[in-house]
Amino acid sequence: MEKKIGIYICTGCGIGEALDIEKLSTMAGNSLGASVVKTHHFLCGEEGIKLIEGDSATEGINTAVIAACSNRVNFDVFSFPNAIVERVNLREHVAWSHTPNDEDTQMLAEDYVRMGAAKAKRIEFSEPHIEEDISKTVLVIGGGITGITAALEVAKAGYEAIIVEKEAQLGGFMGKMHKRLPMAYPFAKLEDTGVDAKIKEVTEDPKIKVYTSAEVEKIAGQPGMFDVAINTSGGAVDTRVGSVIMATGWKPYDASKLGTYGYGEYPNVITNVMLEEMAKGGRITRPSDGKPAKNVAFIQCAGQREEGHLPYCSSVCCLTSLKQATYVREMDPDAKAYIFYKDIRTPGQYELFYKSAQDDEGIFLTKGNVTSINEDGLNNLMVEVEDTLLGGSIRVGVDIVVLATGMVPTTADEAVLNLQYRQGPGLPDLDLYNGFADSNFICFPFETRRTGIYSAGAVKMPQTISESVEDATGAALKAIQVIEAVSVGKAVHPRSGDSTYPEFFLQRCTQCKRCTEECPFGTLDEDEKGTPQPNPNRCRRCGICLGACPERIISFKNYSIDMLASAIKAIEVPGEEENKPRVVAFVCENDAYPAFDMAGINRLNYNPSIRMISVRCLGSVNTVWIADSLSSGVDGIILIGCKYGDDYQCHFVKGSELANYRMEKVQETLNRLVLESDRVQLLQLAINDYDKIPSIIGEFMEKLEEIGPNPYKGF
Amino acid sequence: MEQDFMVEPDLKFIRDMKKAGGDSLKKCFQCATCSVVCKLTPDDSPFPRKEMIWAQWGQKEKLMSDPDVWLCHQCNDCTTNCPRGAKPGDVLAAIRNEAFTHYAFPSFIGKMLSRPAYLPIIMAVPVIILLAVVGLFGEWEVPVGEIIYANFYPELAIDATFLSFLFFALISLGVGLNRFWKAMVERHGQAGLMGAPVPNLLAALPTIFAHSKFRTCDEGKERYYGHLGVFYGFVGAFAASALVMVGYWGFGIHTPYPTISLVKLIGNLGGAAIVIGALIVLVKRFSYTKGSTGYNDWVLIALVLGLGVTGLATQFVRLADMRGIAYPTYLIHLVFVAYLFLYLPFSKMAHIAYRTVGMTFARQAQRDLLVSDEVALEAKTAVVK
Repeated sequence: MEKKIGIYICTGCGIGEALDIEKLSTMAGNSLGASVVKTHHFLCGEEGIKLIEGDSATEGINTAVIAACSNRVNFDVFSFPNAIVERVNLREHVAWSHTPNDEDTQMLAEDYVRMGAAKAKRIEFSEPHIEEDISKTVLVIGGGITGITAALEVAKAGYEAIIVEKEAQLGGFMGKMHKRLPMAYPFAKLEDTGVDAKIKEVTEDPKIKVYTSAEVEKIAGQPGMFDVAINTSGGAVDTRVGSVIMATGWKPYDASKLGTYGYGEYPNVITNVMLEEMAKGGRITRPSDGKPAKNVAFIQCAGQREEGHLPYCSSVCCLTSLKQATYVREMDPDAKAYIFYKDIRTPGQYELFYKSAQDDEGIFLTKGNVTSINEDGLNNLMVEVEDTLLGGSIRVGVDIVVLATGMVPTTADEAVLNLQYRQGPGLPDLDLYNGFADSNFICFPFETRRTGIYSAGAVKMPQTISESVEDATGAALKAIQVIEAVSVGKAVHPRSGDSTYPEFFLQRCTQCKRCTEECPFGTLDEDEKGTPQPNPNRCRRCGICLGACPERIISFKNYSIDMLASAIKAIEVPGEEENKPRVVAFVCENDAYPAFDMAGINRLNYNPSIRMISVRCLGSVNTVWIADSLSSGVDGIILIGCKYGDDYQCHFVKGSELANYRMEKVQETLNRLVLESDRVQLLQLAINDYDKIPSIIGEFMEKLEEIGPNPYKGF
Repeated sequence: MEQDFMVEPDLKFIRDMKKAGGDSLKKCFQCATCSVVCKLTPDDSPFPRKEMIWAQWGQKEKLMSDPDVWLCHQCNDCTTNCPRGAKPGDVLAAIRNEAFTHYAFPSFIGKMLSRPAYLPIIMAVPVIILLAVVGLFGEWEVPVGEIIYANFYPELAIDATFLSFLFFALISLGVGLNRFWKAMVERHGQAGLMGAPVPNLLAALPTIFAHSKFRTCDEGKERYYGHLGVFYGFVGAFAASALVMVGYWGFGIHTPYPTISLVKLIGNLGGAAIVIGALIVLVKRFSYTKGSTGYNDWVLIALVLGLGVTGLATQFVRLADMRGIAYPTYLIHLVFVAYLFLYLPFSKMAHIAYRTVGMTFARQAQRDLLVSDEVALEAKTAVVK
């Protein structure tokens, strides 16, 4: 389809007062190849929209460059079917953040309109990629409370679910529990787990298929079309599912590593899981002789928050010990329960449960370090605790010692998912979360780095039954969402609803494997030669592959090397004698771009030499754009994106980290070419750092002034 | 502070303390706000924080031999400021109540005194004794003529009855206090004790008479006046009774004394001080909602108020010649006095003795420096510096 471009300049919201609109529209009309150039004082109003729609009907305008406000607002208003829309931000990034009616401000506006038009010329009409044979079934791995809840929620929403449970029956750890924590005010009374009713509900639901004594052998494919091989006791089952909920839960920390507490040596030293199972049996006894255990000591953080053991807090053990102490006392009113802790952690409303347990006359709480546990000839245990609240060291004689061991995720040492992905069978980089299938996708809980696969429950982070239920419900909705998204060829978060996808001009591929290795989401598989094999439904549309590719063969219909290169070329770089430096800023659309919007909203002024280019992720910045910028005479380049490292805030996890790595390489190259490497900088900017923008830009401009103009200027 | 001790919580003791007014004792989470706001505690190992954890852990021996709980006058600054509602003031009061029972001799009376269920029996004993005495030696019919209580309950019988009660009480109290003292010495050890008991007792007396510790309370300011009134009211009442006894045995003076007389003046002032003081305490108890008032507290307030009111009423109905109710009023007053004497070692009233002994020991163990002493000490150190 031939493109007919219309350029529409809004003069409202202070744009008209800050700029010479006539000059701007004359420039646009003369040099940008637009069929129409119009101005309006209220473009997002009914009349303004009618103006654009009218041009579309009468003049056949199918590509609109809207020079008005930020694309983060009014995106629903400036949305025209079967038309390409490119937004130029004259409001937040020009009129609101620069001196009005100033020569430099005018030049900035003109450059932005030129860049917008250049981009619009290269944006192509796109059709979403829709695969056939999309399955809308959700696979739930793990039949504990998380898996059960997830499957029930999926079924309630009208979708089918398959549960694969390793053990012979459903229920997981909840099925092994004697009691669960109180769930309602006053958070004092222990409750039955109710697991049987839940299991019954699942087995009776016609939309849920349950495989017990079964394991997932492998998962291949992509969201909407995962091909799953399940090993069941009745043989292998192959099935297709749309998405996966990983609810494989936790294992207790290996108590045999806790010899210092006498575990393995003394029969009456047991773990909290063992006590729970014993209580479910109806009696709490000494394993050594079966006599009733009247005195029970709980040792918190056994093998947790400790060097050589689990470094983290499992967050539920304090509650578990308080629960167990409560039922030890309920089962025998003369029993005594001691809890030795580093600090009691009972989050949220469970403070009330802590108070209620503390109020029990037979529950004795103190902080302290357990220094030794010894046994007399009759299997009685003596616990020595130092630095207690009683003002020193104490010794307590007990029948059994219960070690509050922590939760170890099933993902700590198993791949679990057994993915047939080029990047491996499991979820990558879980070391960051001590093996838990978590992420610090601040705004995107349940996400994993494998699209269409969501984690919930204790495999994600240590949590209680109630928290797992909540978690499972959220993950179920995510699992449904991804199926619906891929069935119409759209991306899931963070670019929800994006229907473009990367295309590979494979004839020019050199099989360097950068894209297949660097994609944070394992989107690309490889054939034997190493040629990438795209799986569009796995793709999050970050463009990190586009940034990686040295051959520049990867592009989106509305985001490509050529498109941004031409936007860079559209910048008019004044000659050296004019003393007007130019800086290209590649700005991440997720945090940095909105931060600049906020700077505008707050009327913060910053240097007008900067020309911003919005990118999907810093990871999508191809080094060729740096070269293009420098060769067009631009004096400096900054990449502004999210924080990287262990506490990254990159919405695509690895983007800003990769960009930083690549820029280091660019700087090395610049040094080799005797071009000052300081001309290229990468900055981390959080959305709430908007107030720092004027000084950040100012400092960069000062540095550029020291370095002097780009020697390529004018070539 | 002891190092490395064996802990065997006494569940029954915890339950008893809860019943004796310390039902909030488990709520403490050892933040030490109580010890920080307390104006009466020594800086070293301050109370009531350590007592709270001992109470939670059922450390009966420690608490029963702890002189610090007797340095507490239940100002309730701690209870007012406690972030957990653990009411340290109430808990320490409960510990003191437990001490009366714990050291009581014979111990079964102590137990009976601490339980509301036994109140009828406890009350019946003095009533029966008094009625028996009236039956044997007194005038059962309402005597005609001028109202003279001695006709109803002869003076000799009064002295015989109440001196026997007092004798019993002093023996019992002596045994209890001796146990208490031994327990404190045993746990504290001889080391660090300064001087002999008697000089320390004498040194503690000015504090007691001036209520100088009690006076430093913030929250319990009004109770200081109330307690002071009751205290000196009793001093007056006892002085009047003693004078009457001296008059009878030494000079053959019979009651009633003329309304305008030294004995009457002392007695009436004492009675009025007791009633006013007890009312102040009562009002304060009702208006202070953060702390609670237990059985022992109510019994003591009822006893004190009853003593004062019936004492004054006895005189009033005699002067008003209300012969119909005069002798019953007198009998009721005697019942209150009998209760006071008989149960002195077992009831909360025993605090007069236990606190004195506790404060004496605390002085000996150098835990009870007067505020003025501390100020003097500080001034001295400042000068030296």
